[in-house]
Amino acid sequence: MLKIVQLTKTYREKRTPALKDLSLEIPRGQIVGLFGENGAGKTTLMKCILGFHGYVGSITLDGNPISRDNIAKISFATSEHSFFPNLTATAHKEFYAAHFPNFKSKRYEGLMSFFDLPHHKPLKHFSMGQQNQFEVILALCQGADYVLMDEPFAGNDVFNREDFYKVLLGILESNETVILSTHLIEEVSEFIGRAILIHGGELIADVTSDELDETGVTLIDFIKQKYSYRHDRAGRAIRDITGEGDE
Amino acid sequence: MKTNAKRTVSEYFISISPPGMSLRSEAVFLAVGNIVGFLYSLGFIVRYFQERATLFKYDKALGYILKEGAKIEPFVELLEDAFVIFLITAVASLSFIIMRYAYFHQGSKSVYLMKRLPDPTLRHKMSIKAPVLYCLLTLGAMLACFLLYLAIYYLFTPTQCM
Repeated sequence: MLKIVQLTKTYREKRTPALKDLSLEIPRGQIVGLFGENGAGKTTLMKCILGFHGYVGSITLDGNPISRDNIAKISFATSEHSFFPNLTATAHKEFYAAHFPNFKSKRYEGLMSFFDLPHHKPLKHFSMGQQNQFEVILALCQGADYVLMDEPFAGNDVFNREDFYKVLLGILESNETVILSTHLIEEVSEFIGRAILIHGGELIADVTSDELDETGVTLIDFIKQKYSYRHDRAGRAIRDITGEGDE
Repeated sequence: MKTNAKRTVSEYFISISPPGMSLRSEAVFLAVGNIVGFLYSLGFIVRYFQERATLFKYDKALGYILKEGAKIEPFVELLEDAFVIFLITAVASLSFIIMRYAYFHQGSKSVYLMKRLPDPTLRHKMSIKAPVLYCLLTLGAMLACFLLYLAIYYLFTPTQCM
């Protein structure tokens, strides 16, 4: 269980906190979508979980604070990429296997083969899409219980992403949790079991897909409701800009 | 045998360096710094033998003989700035520490991976260890030259001229 209690993070250069009093419990075996506008605090939340940022509050993994003893239970795939551009895929595999004792070699080979990625080419020569795929492959093969993904598919085409979601559902074991931060809400709505919404650093909604199914509301409509999205916003803006419709 | 040793040294330095980082520029800097440092330090030999020559006078019958009461300049005086290039190389090699830390932010954010390794000190080891070794190797080479020159000074200078 990943437990976050009253997490507050304020960046030195900013007055308002990036995360305010955020509490969450994420048990194993879930695929969680983390949604929010740009600057909502999604990336900050992930970086706090990983210990990259200092914070107020507590974050525990199976009852223990996150430290060098249990950090290998969390992996991270980011659109910024965390691989070494000069290394080949095979060299990455060796590096991960040397540092993460539960590295899943069989899963790695399977995913590399599925996405048809080159083994002996430095990552800097991969296309952006291939780099994203490899970043996610590493996160999924580290042998972590919690896989954090921060906009991992930025730059991948829709078919590519669709394939990945399907593979993800197929390969995940019952004890593995994926926390996926993305703006591609409609696309991932079929694949996630729970949606967490953050707005201005605060948790504004936490709902399971079963709860949404019961109410008959789609995920995108639920999110729009929570964000008080005004449907006529774009139309009014166009009218304001063009002056059409003014009497 | 020689190639194996070279490979072992190279493998060792790769193992204590950021993954995928080219060590070529560091190796070239270290080699050039030490070669130039050594050549510059040879100025001591030139000064020493020039100074040593002043201890003698030429006699047609006896050849070169010691001047009476001649004294050689102290070793330290003759050294002058012989090791300045070695020192500059040693200190400058420490700047690779900054470059190595920066490497984890170049082209990607591999720093994120390094920070979440079960051994979070690895990033620091990979950034600090090799440049400190470069510095020590350079200081070692300087010390070797110092001892060699000291030995030359004491072996080639007549005792009564000290």
